[in-house]
Amino acid sequence: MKKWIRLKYTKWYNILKDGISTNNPIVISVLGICSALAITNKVSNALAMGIGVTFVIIASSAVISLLRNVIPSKVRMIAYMVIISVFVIAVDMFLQGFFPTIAKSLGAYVGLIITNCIVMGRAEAFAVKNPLKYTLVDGFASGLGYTIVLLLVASVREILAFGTWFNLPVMSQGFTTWTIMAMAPGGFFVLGLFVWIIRELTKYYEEAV
Amino acid sequence: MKNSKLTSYYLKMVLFVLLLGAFSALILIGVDLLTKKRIASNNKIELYETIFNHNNVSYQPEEIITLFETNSVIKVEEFYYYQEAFLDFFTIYKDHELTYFINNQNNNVTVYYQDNFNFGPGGKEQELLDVILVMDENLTTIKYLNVVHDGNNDYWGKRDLLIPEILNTITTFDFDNNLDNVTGVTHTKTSLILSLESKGKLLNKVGRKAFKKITLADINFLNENTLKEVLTNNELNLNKYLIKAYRHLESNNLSFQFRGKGMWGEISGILTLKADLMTIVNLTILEQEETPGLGALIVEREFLDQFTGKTFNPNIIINENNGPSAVDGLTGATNTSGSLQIILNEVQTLFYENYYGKKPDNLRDAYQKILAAHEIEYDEEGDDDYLITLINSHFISAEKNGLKLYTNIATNNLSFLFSPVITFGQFGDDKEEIIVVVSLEDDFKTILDLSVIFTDNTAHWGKTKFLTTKNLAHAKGFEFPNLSFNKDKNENDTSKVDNISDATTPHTLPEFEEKLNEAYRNYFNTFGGNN
Repeated sequence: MKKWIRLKYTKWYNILKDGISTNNPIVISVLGICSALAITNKVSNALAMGIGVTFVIIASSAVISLLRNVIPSKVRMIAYMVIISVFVIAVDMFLQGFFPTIAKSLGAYVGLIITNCIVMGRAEAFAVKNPLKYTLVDGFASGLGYTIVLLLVASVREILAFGTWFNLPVMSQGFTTWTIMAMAPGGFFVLGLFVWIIRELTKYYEEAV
Repeated sequence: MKNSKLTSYYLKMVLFVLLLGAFSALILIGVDLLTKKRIASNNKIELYETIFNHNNVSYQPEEIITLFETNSVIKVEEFYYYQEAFLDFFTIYKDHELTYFINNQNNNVTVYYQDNFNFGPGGKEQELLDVILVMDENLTTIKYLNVVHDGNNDYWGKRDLLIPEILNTITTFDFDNNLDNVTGVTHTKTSLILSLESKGKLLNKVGRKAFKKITLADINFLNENTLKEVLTNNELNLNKYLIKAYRHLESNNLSFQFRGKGMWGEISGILTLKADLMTIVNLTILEQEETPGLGALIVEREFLDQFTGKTFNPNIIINENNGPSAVDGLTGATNTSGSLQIILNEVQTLFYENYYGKKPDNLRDAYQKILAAHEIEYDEEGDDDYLITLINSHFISAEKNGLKLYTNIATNNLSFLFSPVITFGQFGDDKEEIIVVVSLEDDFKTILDLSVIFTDNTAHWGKTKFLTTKNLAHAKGFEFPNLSFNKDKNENDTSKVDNISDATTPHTLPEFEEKLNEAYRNYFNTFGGNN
């Protein structure tokens, strides 16, 4: 029991909590919205994207954290970009070579990870200032936060748009599918509502400038 | 002191960038080397697997490559796509007498023309033959010469002179030395020398400045063999245009890979057709970059299975209610469906034409439009023969100079159809052949009916706003020869059709007007206005 109470004060627990809830990349920081809108129409897509992004955040943050004393501050952004791109391209080629079926189901998403601001954001906000072990936890936490939101939004959209969840039929036979949910506007609606509800529940308000 | 610190800082920065670049490049090259072979073999296996699956061949996963490559189940058939290659390798120019093809790589000039050649004793027999002449860019050295003929041995000119061994010795326009030792073919030799000399002089006279660039439509007079001959004699690497088709030996089904432009990126896949190359056995999409969740659903079996059993008659139509050639489109992915439709129809036409020659025109719709314009009742379900019989019983058809005019026996009203290539699309980047059916009153100028048939239903404004049945119906009663679709209509002007469309179609409208008037003039001049 005592151990559990003490857990709250450990650094890694706080980092984890930060990534998943208090500083959730989508709901609170509103990062990586483009990909979140594009791929949340099916749960399987959301899961694949979530895993891919999590891996790239962990790997690139780890490298940046290791190099944090070597990277000159003036070119750090370009350095992040290069490192992230190398990882994404390497992962893409590796999957195509050794796991063609997974690569196929991920399709274009792997390439899209490069443009995900969360990866860049974690590199700049955390990895470049912290040692490796905390960076790994932070990368995992941010990835998980992103994946959870994606999965929730995708669940709503897939059920309404296709009457299925994870490609399993869940709605009754006579259910009329909502085509708009499969399209981009549906993504805006659900994600917008979702962010609003979560912020309302957690009493998080941005201060007016 | 401060300055040198700054310099060393910048030096370090540059060094870091270079090192990072080098490391990244190394890692990427390493991963590429590690995976290149496997990716290639994965793609190959995927291709083989798909072809086997399309043909219901059973196989063990580990022996798929050997099974495929021994040609015991599938035979690979190859051919070149000359038309495409031709347009990539050559720029085509024309003056009033000759057509020139300029090789984009080495500037060699190929000239193609037809000329009369004399044969037989006394040179009494005359034949019009195709001549292909390849020259260097200065138009002085002849690199290749061929006179295409039937090889009839009875004519010595064909047997002894117009053969590769002799023609290959001609390298300049100074013929006497080249052909001195060829005897007994005086007349053919004279006609050859005259022909080449006159062209040589003409070439030197006009030089390259007079060349006027022309486009694809103007080379339609070239047949496949001429294209092939020009290409192979310009020392070009045609590997890129080698097309492979996979024949299943048991069922004679033909599978082939296709590629084309989708909405965002390339779509590639495998299409298997029955031996008639009209009926679809199966379709699989291998690669696509369409919108995830919308257009990307073209890879789903549920969508692709719809294609099985459909026929290209003459084209497949996606986004339409069910029919023998129609397939339901994907909701929210109109562009992807449209692109796929274009890709499939293009590739099927390519293969069909390679194996069986020109695809039959679908004149069915056109016949129906003619009958409707003349208010003749017909049974919509009737087959092609029924329509042709009906047309023949109500119309007299006259053919002159390749134009065909239908005259209604009862009313003397006229009809003709032509198929212009019209530009569509917002930026005028889509070209498409359409069929235009024109029906006129017996004065040969007043419009009775005007209608247009599309083979492809991609939604362009040119089609959905301008060339609509409703809009074209307004042309009724207006008069050629200078018909125009203009909004500011003058009450008394019988040549300006009231265009009710609110959309601007800057590419489609003027082109349609021009081609329509041109076709009318051709018909009017040919059939003289009296029939």
